[in-house]
Amino acid sequence: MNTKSYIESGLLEANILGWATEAEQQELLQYRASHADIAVAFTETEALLTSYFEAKAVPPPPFIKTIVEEKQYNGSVKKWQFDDTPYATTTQAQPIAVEYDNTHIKVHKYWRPAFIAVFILSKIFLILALYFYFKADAQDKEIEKLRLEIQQK
Amino acid sequence: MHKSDASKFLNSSHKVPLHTEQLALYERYGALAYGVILQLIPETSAAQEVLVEVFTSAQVLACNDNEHDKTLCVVRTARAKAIAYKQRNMPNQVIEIKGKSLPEQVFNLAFHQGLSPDAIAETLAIPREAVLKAINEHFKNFRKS
Repeated sequence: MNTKSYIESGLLEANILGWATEAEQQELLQYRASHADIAVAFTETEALLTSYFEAKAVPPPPFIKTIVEEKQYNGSVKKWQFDDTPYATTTQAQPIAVEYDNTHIKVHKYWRPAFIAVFILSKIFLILALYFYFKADAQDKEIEKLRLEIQQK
Repeated sequence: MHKSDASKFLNSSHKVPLHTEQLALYERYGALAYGVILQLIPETSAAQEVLVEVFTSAQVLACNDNEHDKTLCVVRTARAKAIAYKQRNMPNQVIEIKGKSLPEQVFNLAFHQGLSPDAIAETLAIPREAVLKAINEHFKNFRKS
């Protein structure tokens, strides 16, 4: 096999970009194992393609990170707004205000047990208050009854 | 800590949450993916929508396992998502052949219009081998420049 013509056939790039057929992928795996120059060329092509795409990178507007974060936590974003300015100017663009129409508020996770504790304590105090109220009421009636008995005697 | 305890610790509740991994990938490769998407979808609002889709997808997480070519894995994922978006939202887009030389034409069809090598071969009425060779030449030209 002519390794030079194989390297220049574009099959290395096709494999790296995910365009190769199953047979082409298997063929490359075998060649990389058996031909050192193909293995080296493959690594070099990977590095070349990486530097190519890195050279074409365009920083996204900062608010996109917030949207990604929001979508990861909540599963969806109810209302989001993307920047419509042409991408040539996007790198200099200032962050824009994004309006969220969210009916939920975020609170610290300790608020949940704190709220449950306050709720349970309020029920306990309510029950105690009712208990002592009725007990005091019954005692007042008992005292009144005893006073009447004493007066009658 | 005992070795088995350490592995238990790692396998239990102390794994890095998925969203943290995705955010870390976004921090590192967001600009790269945005560049790839913009080549296929020049409309910024649509490109940003695809970018969010990429970094909230399960596919991008698989790139974390691909230590060897994480960058190119993100490129492939971004490209696939952008092509899927185009097929969903711009189904009747006319394919234009732009560029003076064959590598330019092939590159344009592959990276700006999202065609597969087989589709490019059919569009330009050339063999698939010639398409792949043209891609090789395009990257060679980039190396020289």
